[in-house]
Amino acid sequence: MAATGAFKTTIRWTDLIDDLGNLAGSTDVQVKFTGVAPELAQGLELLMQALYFENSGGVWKKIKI
Amino acid sequence: MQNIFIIEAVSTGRFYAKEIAWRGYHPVVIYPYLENVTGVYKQYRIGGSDYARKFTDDIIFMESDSSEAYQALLEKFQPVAVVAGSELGVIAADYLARKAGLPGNDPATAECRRNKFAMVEALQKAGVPAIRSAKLNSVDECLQLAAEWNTWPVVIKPLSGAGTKGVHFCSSMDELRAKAEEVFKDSDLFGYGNAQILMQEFAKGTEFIVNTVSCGGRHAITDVWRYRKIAVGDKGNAYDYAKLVTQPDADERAVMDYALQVLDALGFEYGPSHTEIMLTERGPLLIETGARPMGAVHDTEALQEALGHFIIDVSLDTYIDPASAATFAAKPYSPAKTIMTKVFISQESAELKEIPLFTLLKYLPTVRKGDFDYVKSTMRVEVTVDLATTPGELQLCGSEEQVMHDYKVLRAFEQQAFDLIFAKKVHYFTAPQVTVSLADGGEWLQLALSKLQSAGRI
Repeated sequence: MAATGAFKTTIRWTDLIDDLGNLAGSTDVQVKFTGVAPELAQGLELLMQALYFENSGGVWKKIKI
Repeated sequence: MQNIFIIEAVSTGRFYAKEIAWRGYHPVVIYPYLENVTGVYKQYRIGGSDYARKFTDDIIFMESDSSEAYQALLEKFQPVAVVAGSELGVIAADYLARKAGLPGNDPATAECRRNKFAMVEALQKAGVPAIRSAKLNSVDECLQLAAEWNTWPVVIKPLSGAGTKGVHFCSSMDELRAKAEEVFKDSDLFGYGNAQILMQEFAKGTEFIVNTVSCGGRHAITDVWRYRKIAVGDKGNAYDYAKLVTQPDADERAVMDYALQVLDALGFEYGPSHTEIMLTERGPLLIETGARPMGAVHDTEALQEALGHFIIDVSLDTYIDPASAATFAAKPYSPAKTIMTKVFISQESAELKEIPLFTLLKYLPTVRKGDFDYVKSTMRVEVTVDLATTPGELQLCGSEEQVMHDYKVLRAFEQQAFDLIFAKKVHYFTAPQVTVSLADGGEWLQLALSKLQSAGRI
């Protein structure tokens, strides 16, 4: 099952951490981003890694450690 | 109820009071006489005695260090054990234990467990490798010897100090002159004047800490820590982390073996030791050791989680429960989990608007406790060159893989996107579109998305 949504026009960095942190609660979750602003790209990449995701062809998948 | 003396209950040593009371003994806390106690050390004593007061009313600040005064305490309380809670208690604990016929280290060799030059001499006598060192009486002697050695930097420090007070790394004659003058004029942490100081060659390498307990001269390693430092431009080396060694490699085994040689050379027979060692190109070399528990650096709950024991508990066994101490000593060193204290490093000084790190930490499974009091109260970070200038410390505990994962992401933020964890402004970004899918568990996904909707996020 998949669902698509767009965050509102702008999002505060700490809210993004919370939102993605909550989404990361499931071991099966996969996340794909589109329309990532260049100034967010590096932070988003680090955040997803911090939340135990790895990038596989543009799709972020949870890893088990 | 039987009494146990705690000499100098400060830092980790204050926890003896709780453990002694929990075992059904009565703690008697004794603080040796200090003529000119420093303000900083006075605070240590206040913290220690306030804690101990929860477990005993017998807290004694000695008004002299005469043998008669100590004899009176022995006669009054007739202790069944004497433990040193901190550096300042080492000599008195050895003396009192011997006087009362109790387990303890030999008072005749106590000096080499307190005085850093006596430590080096004892190692040399036993044929254990040691750092080139000298005990010096004046600034001129320091300069003269440094000229003879002609290797820089050199390290100077008080002979029997503690903490980092009076410890200086000097890279030139001018710096050595200035710092040596300062140390000779100053006192050590406890308030004793520095009539002589120790000068040593700088030992370059990887820093380790080996903590042990000894019982009847048999030593058991309780925990081993490996430190990582990072060069901060030309300002020195800042701590990056201290990590509990769980599966020692060959180098770490060599450090552990060396630590045991040190303990034999210094006459350790009972109780804890806290030994700092530099693994150099020459092999392991002693920085210094203390006949007391390691200071309260790491979270005690995380230590218990990773090690399965608490140093104070196993230390006390060596004095009053040698059978348990022997059982502990027979176990191989193999902590179930690791602990890391990550020390954050800032490359710049700045005013902060918010600290997104705290939001991120909610989602890292190995995070236990942090100390960010300074940055929270000031909303400032400084250029990190030492422990006093770090934005904060964080305790991680878990499997090797988890802890290293969480460390690496935190380090990556620190290096590549520091402003996203310690932020000079509140960051807003153009929101990306996100597609979320689950192999199963659609119900959970709907819940997660509806939560975002209700929060007005999507």
